Parts: sequence; structure tokens; C-alpha cells
Amino acid sequence: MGAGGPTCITCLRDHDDNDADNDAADDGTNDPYFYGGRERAAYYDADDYRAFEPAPDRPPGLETDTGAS
Amino acid sequence: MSAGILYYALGGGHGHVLRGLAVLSRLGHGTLLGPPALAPWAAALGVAYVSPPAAGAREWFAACPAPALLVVDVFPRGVVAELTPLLGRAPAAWLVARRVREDYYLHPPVRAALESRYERVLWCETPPPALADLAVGATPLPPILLRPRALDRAEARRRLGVAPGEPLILALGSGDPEHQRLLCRLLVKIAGRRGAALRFVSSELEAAPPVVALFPAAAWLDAADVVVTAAGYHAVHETALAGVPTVLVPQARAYDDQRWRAREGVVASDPGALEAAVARLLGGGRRRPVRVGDGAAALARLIERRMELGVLGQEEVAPVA
Repeated sequence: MGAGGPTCITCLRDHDDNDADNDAADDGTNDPYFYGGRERAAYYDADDYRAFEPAPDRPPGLETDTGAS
Repeated sequence: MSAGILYYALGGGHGHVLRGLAVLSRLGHGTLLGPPALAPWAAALGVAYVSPPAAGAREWFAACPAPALLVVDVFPRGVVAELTPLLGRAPAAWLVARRVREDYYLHPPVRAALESRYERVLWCETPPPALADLAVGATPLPPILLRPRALDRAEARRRLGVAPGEPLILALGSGDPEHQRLLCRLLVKIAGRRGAALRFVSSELEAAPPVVALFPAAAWLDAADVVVTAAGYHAVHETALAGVPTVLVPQARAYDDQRWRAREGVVASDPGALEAAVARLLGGGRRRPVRVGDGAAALARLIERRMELGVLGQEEVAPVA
């Protein structure tokens, strides 16, 4: 990681996507990984997105919470 | 139950119990207090283990013989809730703390308990700056990890049924079982598209391919070409120690700050980012293993000295800082 924070693979991918798009155009491959926008979004279904949790709110029930910490 | 060392690890997640096992297995004595489901882990390591009854825990703690030293792992249940009766009777209590959200320890009743009931806080990760003002002795420690003997890569892959030369995605499941199931389902698709094998380590999902139950999972890390895991304490520190390429999928936790722990790692927060990261790291080779001291051994030594001397002077604590 640089000083700017965590390595965001989505951000890193933009540069490679450009290269990959060119490669794909050159060799005629059709790998969805190399395509952005709606094509890539449609590559995953709702359950795939549900595997990623949202950010937590303030912790409730400090004294009695028994869930995983 | 022994009246010597009692390590309280009823935090709900795996990390509390794993730290307790790491410390007590090095200490060679003491009793670990954890959830019933993880008792087999203690049995595998020969560590004494007890669980309070599901109902009536407070009464159970009230009747529990006071240990000479009570070591509490992180959680509020152990700071201001069910453990309170035992805290009042134990001659000394230490708190083992990983990184926590600062509002947890600064919550007035929690802060009051920390400053009045605990002799020492042992930080096995860097605490938030706002916690520097807590009026309780603080000792920094290296990560507290089991550090099992690593299986040889070829042997581990053979035992996992992975063909020589076949890329392996090793996922470490944790947290909510439904989220584990969804992540496993997504990784099955990703592995198929990438021509890789997948093994999904879980204690909660049914152990049917690609799910496997491995303990301790850290022993198997060298088998992997890429690890996919939440950014829990052990997963982050153990994969760094092993030098295995890792994609972190931080999970929301009430008190644990997995985003902070993942700050120097490769992080994926949606399916496309995860697949891109896996594809990138599968072809990227190993990373340099992190070299850190053995925090579990350091804490075991401090506990021994505390038991021998009755109190720890600064000269005892300083060498591990």
C-alpha cells in the first residue's frame, strides 16, 4: 500500500483494463473480466454482492452483546 | 478447574480462543474458558478447557473459584458483564487487547472497569491513539498467534487433493455462516473461470467439497497460491507471517476494525474486485514473509514472572515492548 491508504484492486484494475481491452481487441478474446460497465456488472448476481457486508453502525448493546466481536 | 491461570475467551469469534490457546499451550498450564463449539481445538492442543452453561452464566461465574491471575481477552462480556463477580474476587486481572474501536474502551462503564479492575492491558496490536490516556499499565506485544508447524507445500496440497501445478485458492471462512456460504459460492465460480482449485476452510459450513475443516488452518497456508479471507486478527497476521499472497474481504464487526487491519493489504469489496485480485495474485508469486516476534511466548513468560514475583516491575515488561 502507498501512503494514501489500502490497495483498492478496483482502482488498480482501471489501468490494466485499458491494456486488457486493447489486448482483447487484438486477439479477439471475450473474457468478461476485462470489460467494465454493464457487461461486468451483469457477470455477477445479487447473491454474489450479498457476500460483501456493509459498514457497521455504532456498536449497540456494549454490555450485553454476545455476537462475534 | 485450576485455580491458577484462567484465560477468558468468550468473545463469540474464533480469535479470542486462538489467542488463549497460543498462550496456554506455551505456558503448559492454565485453563481456557471458551464457547463449547471450539472445545475440540483445545483438545487437539492438550489445553484444559471449560465452558459455562448456556443459561445461568452469571451464577456459574459467581461460584467459580477465583484464579490467581485472570487473563481476559478483549470482549465487553468479560469487562463489564458476566465476569464482574469473578473480577471482584481475582487477586489480579490482565486484559489482552487487539486493536479495537476506541469508543468501545472509552465507553464510560467500560473505561471505569478497565481502570479500576485491571492491573495491565497487553496490546497485541497498535491501539488507537485516543486510548493512550487510559489509566492502566500498558504493555505492547508482538502478534499472539498459534504458529503451528507449517506443513510442507507438496504434502499439504497432496492431502487437500490438489494436483501438482494446479493453482490453489485457499479461502478461510469466518463470521456469519450465510456470508461464508455466499462467499464460497462466488469463489467456486471464480475458481472455475480461472482454472484453479478451491478449498474453503470453515468450522461452520458442512465439510463437503470444496469446504474443508482444517485446524489449525495456519499450518496449511503454504499450500495456497492465493488466500482469500476476512481481515480478522489471525488471518491477517498469519498470512503475512507465511508470505502467501492474500486478498482481504473486511467484514463489519461491532468492535473489531477490520478496515484498519486491512489497510496495508489487497482489499476487495465487491465481486468484480475480488475476481480481479485473485487473478492478479495467482500470477504474482509469493510475497516477502513478515518477521515479527512471538507474542504468545512473550505473554506466557510475563505470566510466569507475574506468578513467581507477585508483581511485575518495569524491568520485566520493558524487554517485550
